[in-house]
Amino acid sequence: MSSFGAIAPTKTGSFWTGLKVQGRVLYALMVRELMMRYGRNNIGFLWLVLEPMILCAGVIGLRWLIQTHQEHGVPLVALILSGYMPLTLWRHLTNKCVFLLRRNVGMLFHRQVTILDTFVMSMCLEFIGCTLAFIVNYAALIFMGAIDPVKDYGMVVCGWCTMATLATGVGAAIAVLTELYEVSERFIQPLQYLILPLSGFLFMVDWLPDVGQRLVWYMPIIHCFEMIRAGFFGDAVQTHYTPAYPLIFGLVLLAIYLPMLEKVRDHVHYN
Amino acid sequence: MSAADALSAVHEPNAQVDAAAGLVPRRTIDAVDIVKDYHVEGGGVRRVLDGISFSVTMGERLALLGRNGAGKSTLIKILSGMQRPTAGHVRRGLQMSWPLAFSGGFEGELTGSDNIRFIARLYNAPMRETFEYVADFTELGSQLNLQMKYYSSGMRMRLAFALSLAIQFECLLIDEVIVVGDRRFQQKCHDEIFQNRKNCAMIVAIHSIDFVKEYCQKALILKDGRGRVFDDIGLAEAIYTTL
Repeated sequence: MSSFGAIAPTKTGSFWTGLKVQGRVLYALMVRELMMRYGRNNIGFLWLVLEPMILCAGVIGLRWLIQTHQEHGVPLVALILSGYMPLTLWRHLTNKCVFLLRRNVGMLFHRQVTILDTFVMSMCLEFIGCTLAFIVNYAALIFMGAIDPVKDYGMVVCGWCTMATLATGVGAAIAVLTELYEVSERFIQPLQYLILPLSGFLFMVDWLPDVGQRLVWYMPIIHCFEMIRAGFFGDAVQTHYTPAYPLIFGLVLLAIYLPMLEKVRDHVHYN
Repeated sequence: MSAADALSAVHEPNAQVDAAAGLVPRRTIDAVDIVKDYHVEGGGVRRVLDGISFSVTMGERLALLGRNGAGKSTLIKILSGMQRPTAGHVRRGLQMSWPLAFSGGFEGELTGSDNIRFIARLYNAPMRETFEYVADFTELGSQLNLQMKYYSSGMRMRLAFALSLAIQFECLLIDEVIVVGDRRFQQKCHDEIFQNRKNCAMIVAIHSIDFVKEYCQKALILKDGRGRVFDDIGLAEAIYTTL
C-alpha cells in the first residue's frame, strides 16, 4: 500500500506561488474554523444572520404597536439596522481576539501555518460572516417594506470597512495583551459594555449638545457609525465625521501590535 | 519497482551520485546549538536543553535516548515547530512531519473526515486519494463521519497515525509511539514505516534499546540538557544503560 501527497516545495518559488499557498492555507483554516464554531447539527452558521433578524423583527413589532414613525427625523428601523449591524461587526471582531493565540497555537506544528495566518483567518471569517448578515438582513427588510433603500452605497461601504479596520486594530491589541497579561482579559467585557452607550449605535451625533459633540468626536468608533448613517439617510440628516481618524487609529494599532504577535508566541504554552 | 524505490526516485533522483561527486549538497535537517529554557514557578529558569546539535539526512534514522524528563519531548516539539528554542535554530531542508501519533491538533468538534480534508487542503494533497488512503488504513469506515470528540483514544491515535502517513513527509518525527491498535494494525504501521518509508529520515524518541539496535544508525543521548550523537550503536547502548 503506497501513500502519496504533494507538499508545497521547500525551495523559494515565485511570489505568485507563495500567494497561492497562502490562499490555500487560509482557506483550509477558515473551513476548519467554520466547522468548529458552528458544527453540523443545528443550522450552524446561519445563526450569525438570524440573530440580528430577530432583533429587527422585535423592533418592527414594537413600532407597529406604538405607532410612531420617526425618531428625531430618522426612521426607527433604519436607525436600529444601521446601528446594530456595525456593532455586531465590532463585537465579533474584537471578542474573537481574546485568547486568540492560545486557542490557535495547536495549528502551528503545520509548517505552512504562521501565527499571523491564524489572526488573519479569524478576522476574515468574522468579517465575511458579518457582512453577509448585514446584506441578508438589509435585503429582507427592504423586501418587507420596513425601511427605505440606502441613499449612498459607497458611503456605507466606506463606513463598514473603516469599522472593520478599527476593530481589527483593536483586536490585534487585545490578542497581544491578553496573552501577555492574563488579567487584562477581565477588563475586556466591562470595557465593551462601557463603549456601548458611547459608541453611537443608538443615537446620532447631531442629537447631542455642542459640548457633547466635541467630546464624543474623540471616540473613533463614532465616526464609523456616522459614515454608515450618512450613507443610509443621505441629506435627510446632519452627520459629523472625519474618516481619517478611525482609519489611522486602526492602522497605527495594527502597525504596533501585529509585529508583536510573533514575539508573544513564546509566551503561549502548548502541551 | 516497489513503492519505496519509487519514493526515492521521486525525491532523490541522483542525489547519491551527485553527493559523491560533491555537486549537490544533501538535504538535511540540522539542529544547531538548540537551547531551551523554561520559566519555573516562583522565578528562575530551568535549562532543559543546553546546546544540542545534530544532523539527519534522507535514509538516516536518529534515535533520541534519555531518561524521563531529559528533554526528548521538548526537542521533538522544537523540531516540529510547535515551540521555539530560546537560542539556536533548526534548519529544515526536509519536509518534516508532526509527531506521528499526535492527535492534539485534531479538533473535537470536527468529524474524522473534516480533519482529513483539512490536512489534505493544507498540504495540497489530492483530496479523494488521501481520503481513500486514510479510510483504508484506519478501517474506521462510517465512523469517520462521527465527531472526533466521540472517538475512543485508540481510534484517535489510528486516525492521527494514518494522517501523518498520508502525506509524503521526508522526515518522520516519532515521540515514543511507534505502533498503535491491535496486532494487525500494528503490522500495518510497521510495514508502512519501515518498508514503504525506508528512504525517509526519521527522528525517534524511544526507550527500547532493541529497537534502536535494529533500526537506527545514529543515537543522540540526552542527559541534564547536554547531548551527544553516537554513530556506534553498541557504545550508545552501553552508555544508555548506565544513565
